[in-house]
Amino acid sequence: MTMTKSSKHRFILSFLIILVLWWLSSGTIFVEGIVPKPNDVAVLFADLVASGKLFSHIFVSFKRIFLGFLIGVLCGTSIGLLVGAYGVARTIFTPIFEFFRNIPPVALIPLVVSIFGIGETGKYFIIAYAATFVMIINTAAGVTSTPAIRVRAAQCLGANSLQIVRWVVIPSAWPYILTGLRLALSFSFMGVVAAEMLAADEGIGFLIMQSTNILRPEDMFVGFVLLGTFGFLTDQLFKLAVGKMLRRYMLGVENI
Amino acid sequence: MNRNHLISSFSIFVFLVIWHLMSVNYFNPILIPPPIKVAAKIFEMSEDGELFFHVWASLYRVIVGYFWGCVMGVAIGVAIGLSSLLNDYLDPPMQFVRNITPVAIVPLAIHAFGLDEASKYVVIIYGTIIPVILNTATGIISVPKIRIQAAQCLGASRFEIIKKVVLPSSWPFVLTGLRLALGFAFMGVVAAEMIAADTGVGFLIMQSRNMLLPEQMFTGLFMLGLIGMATDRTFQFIINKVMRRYMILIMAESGFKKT
Repeated sequence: MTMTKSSKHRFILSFLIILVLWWLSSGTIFVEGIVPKPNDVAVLFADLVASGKLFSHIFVSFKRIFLGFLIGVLCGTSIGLLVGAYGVARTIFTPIFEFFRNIPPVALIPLVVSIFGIGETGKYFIIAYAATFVMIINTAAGVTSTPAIRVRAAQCLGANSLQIVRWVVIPSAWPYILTGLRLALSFSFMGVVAAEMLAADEGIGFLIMQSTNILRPEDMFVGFVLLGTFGFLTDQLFKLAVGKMLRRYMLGVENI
Repeated sequence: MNRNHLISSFSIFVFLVIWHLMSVNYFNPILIPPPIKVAAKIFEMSEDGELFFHVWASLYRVIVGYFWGCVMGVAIGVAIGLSSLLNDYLDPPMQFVRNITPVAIVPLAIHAFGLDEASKYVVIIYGTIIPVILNTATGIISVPKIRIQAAQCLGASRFEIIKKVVLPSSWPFVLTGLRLALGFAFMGVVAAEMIAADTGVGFLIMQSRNMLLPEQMFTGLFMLGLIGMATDRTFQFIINKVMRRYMILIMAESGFKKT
């Protein structure tokens, strides 16, 4: 992020304003039992950090996100390459995932729980499901938009189809794949929250859902803060990491 | 095209056969019923009007929530896009809030707005408004400078520039935001209905799990896929009409470009 000095000040100031507004609205517009004051949330946050519970919730959620994301990306990219490269594969797969991608991961949770039980497998499945479709679509779009002239140039130089995929198609599709990865990451966050809210005893989503059952609204806001912060941080890290890779395409990170 | 239709129908047929074999041989039919039973259930439920009732309940919520989310989202997005001061103040919090998914908001919405329709609208508006704001603002910020300068040279006032240059230029971005938001609206309504409702497709799915009615759950999932597909197709159709002047075509078939 490039920032001028005044916009850096505003960046910090904007969060202060939000905190003040939050503090003022709690107890006046909203009942404190529903929207607690930020200082109460901070106290509970410190408690959770001190007892180590916070880290176990974060760790559990992140492990799920990481594994689910990995599985989803592997499946999605390989199907996407296949679908992008072969017209027949496209006609075979399109009707099926055109249908499934409209079924949100949340809706699948009851089914997944009854098949896999409330163990970890079901959570990985939900997260992988959330990440797969966006990977398929982006990878396939990247492959189909490979300039035909590059493929022909490689063919003229005697490259076989494996070499063309490795050295021409994948590099050309790379910006699209990166966009897909970034979207898939945010979809994984959605998936994990949904899965943990409906069936789990640990994790950030559980923290949010449980707070309504034990009437401790501070828990929920700790969960919101964690989601916001980690979503933001992973996104920034991702931008930092791919910024270098995109330089050779003369694209800025803003483009993805 | 005819050949493609044939292949598509064949792949759906193969999918159904695999589903049938899996359900008969590997899974307990109480968990995954064979497709023929689900089809029977769909007919049964649509005959007595129950299916239509639940689908309409969900659709109505989405229509109301999505409408208000889009109206507010476009308004806020335009304001953020036009004023760099507002952008500096509102963008950082938005970058945080966008990571809090509509699903996570459901318990809070229920607590604050009760079990009635209001909480569902809040969840849908929340899911809709954020992608719409972000895309609208991006669209307005990325209007080519040269167009604005051209208009200025021709003596346009600031208001005229906004109306005739900035807003039309940002249309493609706004439409992308609206399309994304529609997906989030459906996700939100399903989550809200699953956690607290007595009507709607989300309720249908959740209730069938509690009452061990797997056919009903698959009916719900089927309807979600169908409605999502129909609304997305309609949206693409409208976008393609509107976008013709921008010479951008969003292809059907899930965004693939045709080669």
